[in-house]
Amino acid sequence: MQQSTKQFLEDLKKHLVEPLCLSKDNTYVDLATNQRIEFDLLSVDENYLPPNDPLIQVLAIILQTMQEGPFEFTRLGVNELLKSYLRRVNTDNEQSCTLCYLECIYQLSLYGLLENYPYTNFFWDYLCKCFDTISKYLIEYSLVFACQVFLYKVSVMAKDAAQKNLHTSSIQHLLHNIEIWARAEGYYELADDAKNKRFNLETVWV
Amino acid sequence: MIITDLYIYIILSIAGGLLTLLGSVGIFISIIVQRRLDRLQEILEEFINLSYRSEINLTGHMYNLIEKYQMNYIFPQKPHFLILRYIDINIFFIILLWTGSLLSFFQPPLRPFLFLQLLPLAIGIYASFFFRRLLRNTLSPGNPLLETIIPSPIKMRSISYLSHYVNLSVKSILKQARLSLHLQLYPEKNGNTTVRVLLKEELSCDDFFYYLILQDNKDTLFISLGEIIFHFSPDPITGKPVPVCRNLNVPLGLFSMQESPQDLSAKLLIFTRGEKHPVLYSYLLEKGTGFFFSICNPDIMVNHQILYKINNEQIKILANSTSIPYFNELSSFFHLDATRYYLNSPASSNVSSPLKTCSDGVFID
Repeated sequence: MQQSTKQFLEDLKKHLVEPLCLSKDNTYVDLATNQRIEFDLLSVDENYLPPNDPLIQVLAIILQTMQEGPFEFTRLGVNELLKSYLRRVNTDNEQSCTLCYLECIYQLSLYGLLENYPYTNFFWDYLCKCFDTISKYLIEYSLVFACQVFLYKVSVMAKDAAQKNLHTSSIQHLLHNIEIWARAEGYYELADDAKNKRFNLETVWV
Repeated sequence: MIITDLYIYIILSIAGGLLTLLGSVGIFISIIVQRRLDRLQEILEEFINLSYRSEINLTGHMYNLIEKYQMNYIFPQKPHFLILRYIDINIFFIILLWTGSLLSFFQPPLRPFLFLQLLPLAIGIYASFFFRRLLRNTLSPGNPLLETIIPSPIKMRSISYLSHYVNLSVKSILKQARLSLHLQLYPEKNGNTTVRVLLKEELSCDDFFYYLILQDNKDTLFISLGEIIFHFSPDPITGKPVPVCRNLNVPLGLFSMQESPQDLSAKLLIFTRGEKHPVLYSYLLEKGTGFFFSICNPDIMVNHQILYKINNEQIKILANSTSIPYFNELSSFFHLDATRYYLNSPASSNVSSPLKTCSDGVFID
């Protein structure tokens, strides 16, 4: 990939400023989510397109840097993606926004854990550091539902990473941090959830 | 009606048959033990091999291996009792037949020569009981006879055992145990903060002596020393033995602080029985919500400047060219007596004053 950092970032930001598609009331029919489908609905659906999700473009760009290198671009990409998440997340959209961003990160982390990806350790360490910062931000702004989704997704990633013998102590630490904060603030369900996730992070072994 | 002259031979041959059966039970048991020994050796070897790969996260894997070892270590209770009962009944009948046949030839009066005649019987009875004891010990391995061949699962978490009997890097095992410090802050009404110092272990490794010193810049706030040994009782509900725990917290003591700094530094020295240089951990503790925690991984190294030897459960410092505060002054208190001591204000109090004992139990959190 022959392009400068500036070009790369401009390319990313172009997509990241587009609005997210968080609303679920679109007319495009997805067979996995619609349980019952009528014939009329299918014929109408022919004219509809799925909503334009800017994160898919961003994901594609970052995945390309993971395939072709350099690692620096991957890191910048993840950083921009997560920064745009922090800019966007608020009390109105905390659950859906966290979910769609972390879904992207999850897909990236799955690629990063592949046998033939050379920078697995770097990538995981970088993600851990980012997660730590994000957890502190979410706590500071009391985004409880975002925390819930966040720790669920992060623990899934950490579990996969632990299976690949990567270190998860920083993830355990952030889970502990969330737990203490949640207990002090009275969100007992979140605290118990965090504790449970922390205890089960490394127990499953295949 | 069996002819009386022949009857005694029949009885003795039955006794002989029973003895043969007893012998074959012995062979059966030895085959089982042999198989178990193979399995346990394999697991132990796998465990040791793992410890050489210290760079990656193997805590979960090690935990599973110890659990697996525990599983192969205990012989199931039911066959255990069945085999023992069979041996008992067998020996009882043999002795009955022997004494019966001897008694049937007994003719009064009682003479001292009789005792000499009864000597082979006594030797036979003794030999059978000894054989029974041997088989019982082989079936249940928690005894001095087999302890050296098959170490109990508790030994897998003992740093001293692993470093003493198996040539293994203490540092790499401790790395997987992931020792870290956690300071819980409890603000008080008078403005002071009570701090509870906890040593967190991801994998419960024990059987070592530690010396911890907590500093704020150059001021020493807290010192703790002692031996860490765990006794995990079997699970109260399921009755399963607990060879190893995860997410363990060891309380090391309390101290109070006037103002709360942003970060603290700590040094932790680990002394084990099989080594001569301690392992040194250097922590940087950062403040979080209501606690101090070592965020980045600690710097772990073997400290070659300190040389020690363990004699009669006492650590003797042979050489020390480090400048760790209060280390030389307190070295006379380095006893391996399974107790944790602490000193909460080393600067103001007299160092030679008796240390306080931390009696809080370990807990999982």
